[in-house]
Amino acid sequence: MFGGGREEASARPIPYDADRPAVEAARRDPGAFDALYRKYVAQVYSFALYETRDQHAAEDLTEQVFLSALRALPKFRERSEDADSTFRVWLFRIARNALANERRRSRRHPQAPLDDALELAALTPDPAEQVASAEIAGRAWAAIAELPDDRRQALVLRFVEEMSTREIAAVMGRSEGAVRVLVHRGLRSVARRLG
Amino acid sequence: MMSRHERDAERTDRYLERLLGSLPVTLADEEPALPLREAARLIQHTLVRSHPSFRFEERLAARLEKEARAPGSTRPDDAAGQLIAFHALAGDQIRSDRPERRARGYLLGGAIASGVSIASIAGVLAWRRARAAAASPVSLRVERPA
Repeated sequence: MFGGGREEASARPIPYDADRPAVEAARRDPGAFDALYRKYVAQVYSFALYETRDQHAAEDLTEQVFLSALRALPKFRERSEDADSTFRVWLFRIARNALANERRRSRRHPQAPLDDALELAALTPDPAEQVASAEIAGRAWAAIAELPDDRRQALVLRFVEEMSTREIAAVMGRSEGAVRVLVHRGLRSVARRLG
Repeated sequence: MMSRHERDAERTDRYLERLLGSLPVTLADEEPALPLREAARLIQHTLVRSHPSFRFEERLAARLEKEARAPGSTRPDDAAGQLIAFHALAGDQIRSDRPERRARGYLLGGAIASGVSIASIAGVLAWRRARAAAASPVSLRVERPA
């Protein structure tokens, strides 16, 4: 997936990107970017919410990501000399960079609780079940929240965004093997905390 | 030669592919340890995707639309020569990274919709839209008789 010169790059298979038609349309007419925005707004917002743990910060980050993506769309390449990409991977790279910049700028980690995630049982009909589910969800989230940044991000991208190891590797700029180890260690840490 | 950690990580990765893709388990599949499988199943049900509020989504959509239409924004001529080159690929060169996933639950602006039916989600959305529309000056203008 990574490395190699032009000849090698043209010979290797490229990931199928279901967003190609929408990306092409948005390049021809920026107004058509709305379709990509609607498709990915919840994914980007979720990632931002799990990382910032604050609704307003997540909204700010989401806004920043989509404005940057719209402006930079002409520069988006599915294939370059160092990495292949899909629109989604590219979007999440922007999100990750925006998050890193924001953290550098503020020099702090938001500590607000992710209350929304703890309301998991809100629609469960049985009140006893609601309490039990919320408690388990709370313990699970507490365990995840304590993970080092890279492990937590890998888990969120794997479980919430349902990305493949290959996609996560491209988003995080790591090898697929490194991502597998991050996810495995993240899960093992959560399992220990829950055990 | 893979280390034990790498082998374990690969086994976990295969397990997650099956778990998240709802794929069947075969006899040849080696499973990770029980606590790790339990943690994975719990995280699968705990980490739900959230949807921003309808108000925020529409406000940002309007801002993007304005940005897209602004003079000096990207236009076809600006992007000439920068369009993605879609290579004529043989079928076996195009591949999807993973099988289609089942639909996931959503958390809608603070209300959890995980595990509820599409009809319920649609109901919540319709309610939100109706509420937002009622408060919107745009909708008031639309509803006012000419």
